[in-house]
Formats: sequence, C-alpha cells, structure tokens
Amino acid sequence: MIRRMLPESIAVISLAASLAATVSAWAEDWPQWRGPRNDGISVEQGLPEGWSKTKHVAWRTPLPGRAGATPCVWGDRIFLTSNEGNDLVLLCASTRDGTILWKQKVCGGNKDARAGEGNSASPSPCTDGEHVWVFFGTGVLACYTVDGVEVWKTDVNDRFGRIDIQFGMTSTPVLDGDALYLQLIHGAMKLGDDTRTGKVIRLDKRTGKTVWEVDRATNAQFECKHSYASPFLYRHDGREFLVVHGADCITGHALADGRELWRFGGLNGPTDVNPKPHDQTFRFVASPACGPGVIIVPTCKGGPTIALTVTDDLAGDCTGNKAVVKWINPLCWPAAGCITARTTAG
Amino acid sequence: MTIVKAGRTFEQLDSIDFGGEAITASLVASDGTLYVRSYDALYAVRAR
Repeated sequence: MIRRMLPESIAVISLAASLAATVSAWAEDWPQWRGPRNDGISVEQGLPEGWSKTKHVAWRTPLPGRAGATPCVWGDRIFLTSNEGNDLVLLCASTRDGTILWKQKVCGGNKDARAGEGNSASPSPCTDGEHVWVFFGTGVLACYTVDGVEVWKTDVNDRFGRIDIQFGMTSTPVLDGDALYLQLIHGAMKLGDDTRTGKVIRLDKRTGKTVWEVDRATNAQFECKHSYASPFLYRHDGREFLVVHGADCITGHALADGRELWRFGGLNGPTDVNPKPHDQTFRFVASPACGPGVIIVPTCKGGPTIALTVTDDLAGDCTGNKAVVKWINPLCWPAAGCITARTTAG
Repeated sequence: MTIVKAGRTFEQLDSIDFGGEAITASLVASDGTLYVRSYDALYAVRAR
C-alpha cells in the first residue's frame, strides 16, 4: 500500500533492458512480488519500449477494486487480489486475453488506510503453479489451488496475536520451497507501553501449520514498533537467511528454525548511522533490497539508507559495527527511489 | 511511471502517463509481457 511508486518495477525494466544483450532468451514466470530469484530483477527480453496507456496494450481488464498488491504469474494464469466493496477477493485472469477465469471471496472486512491511499489488499499473492497463497491486512491467510479451490484458511490474529498497526498489515509473505515466511511487526502505539509483538514465522505451505515462530525483541517505542515492509530471502554464495525489517532494526533469521543470526540496529537516531534526533514515529514502509553480497537497508522520514556487506562479519549484534557497513547515504527521501538508484548502480 | 536506464549515470528512457489512474502495485514482467495493475484495471503490455 504505502509502498508508493514502483521502486522495484523501475529496476525490473531497466535491468531487463541492460541485460538483454548478455542473457539468453528466457520466458519465465513471476511467482511472487520479488520475482523468480527474490531480487526483483527480470531477464525477460523483447519487452515493449515506447508504450503508453493505449499503445502496445494487448488487453485491459477492469477490476472490481483497488490494491497495492502486485499480481503473480504462472504459465497462462495471472493471480491478483483486490477489494470488492467490503470483500477481499482473489482473482485469476488469463494471460492470453485478460478474461477473469475465476474469482473467490477470501474474507470480508476490507479497510481503507490513509484516505484511500491503501487498503487491506496490500500484501501480494504468490504461487508455485499448483497453489496460490493470499494474505490480507485483516490477518486472513489462505491457500487455494490454481483453479480456485480453497485448501486452507487461517487468521494470524488468532494464532500469533492480534494485529495492532496503524494503517493495516501490509507485509507480503515469502514463498520458498515448502515454506511460507511471514513477518508481523506491530504493537501498541502508546507511550510507556513496552509490549512488542514482532514475530517471524515459517508455515508449511501445504497445510498452513506452523513450522516455527520466533519473537523478535526490540527496544522500539510508540509507532516505531510498526513495520509496513516485507521480508525477503537472501541466498548467495552459500549464505541464506530471511531478512526482516522493522522496529528500528534489521535482522537476519535462519530458515531452519528462525533463530536470529544477525542484527543491525540503531537505525533510529541519534546513532553513528543516523545523527538525527530520535523519532517516535519512525515507522518503516520501504522494504530492503538485496544484491549479491549486499543488503540495502532503507529507513524513513529523512533517515539514511545503509548498505550492509554480507560476509562472516555479519553475525550477532552488528549495531555500530563499521565492518559490515558498505556505505551510508545520509539522506533518503523518498526512500524507495533512493534504493532503486543505489541498487541498479551496483 | 518513469523508466530509467540501469547504470551509474541517470538516464530517463521514458515516462508514461496513466492519466491520473493510480498505480501502487509493482510491475510484473513475464513471457514478453509487462503487467500493470492500476486501481482500475489490469493491463497487459507486449510488443508482439
């Protein structure tokens, strides 16, 4: 939702153009928000140039409502979520002509956020070609077959604590192998209230059962407890972990059991990496991005963007450890655009 | 919607006007097609 102007998308198109000369032709699916390699990069060739709202448009299918959710694509099917009035729905469209093949109501209770800037259809769906998983700001998480038959449905409020976040939960789950990873980072926005309900969770994608859940303890206060960012999977050169961003810090978690492998805190000032005064409304919206050996860490509200180097040094509490900092861009507003520029510049 | 070249120097390749139709979803590229999810509609954009 508050994820505004397509940071990854811009990178997708531009990288596709620049890689076209070196990468062989490859028509691939787009199984989840960050694409087939969890990096937001497409290697598609022959994408249209000089297009417009009408030029090169093969088809246009009206939708029943709004969403910040990004569609996912597998074979000849596109899966996308939307509100439809008060309902939250999963739709399947044909890649051939945009025909809506089926539509399922997943739950009710859609809520607009920030005067319609977003709504409960903000987390993006994902697919493995057999099933589709959807998550909504209401906390309902569900699995359907690609033909629209419900396999399981659950409410994270009942299992992991009532969601308490100002503009609705927007975090997109990550699909990897048999796992579905979630970050739920929220908590009471009340001064002097030290309760924090940040959790990182791995579910079995086939059953929805919990494989593990870990509490993510932080010192975040007031609105800083809230994160609108999504986790991502880092996997390169023998290293892999889930990156979770929110509540004044970024953390890496083991895929097997969720234990915290590393943490970089101090993102809210005043610290070595952020000299600005402490901001009690320092809520993260933009998600981190990754490249081989590097994690780009956005903040918010005029705070810095920080690049972390992924080496053996990135272990334990790395807060203030200059050895893991590749660079700091002191001003990053809007955060999203900044990430794109830095990411594509390598 | 703005399209920029990947590289160390900023170069804007294109700017596409959606006529006030809001877009908050990311673009998707798959099998030679770009999919654009606006608040109103889903678009398939392809060269062929």
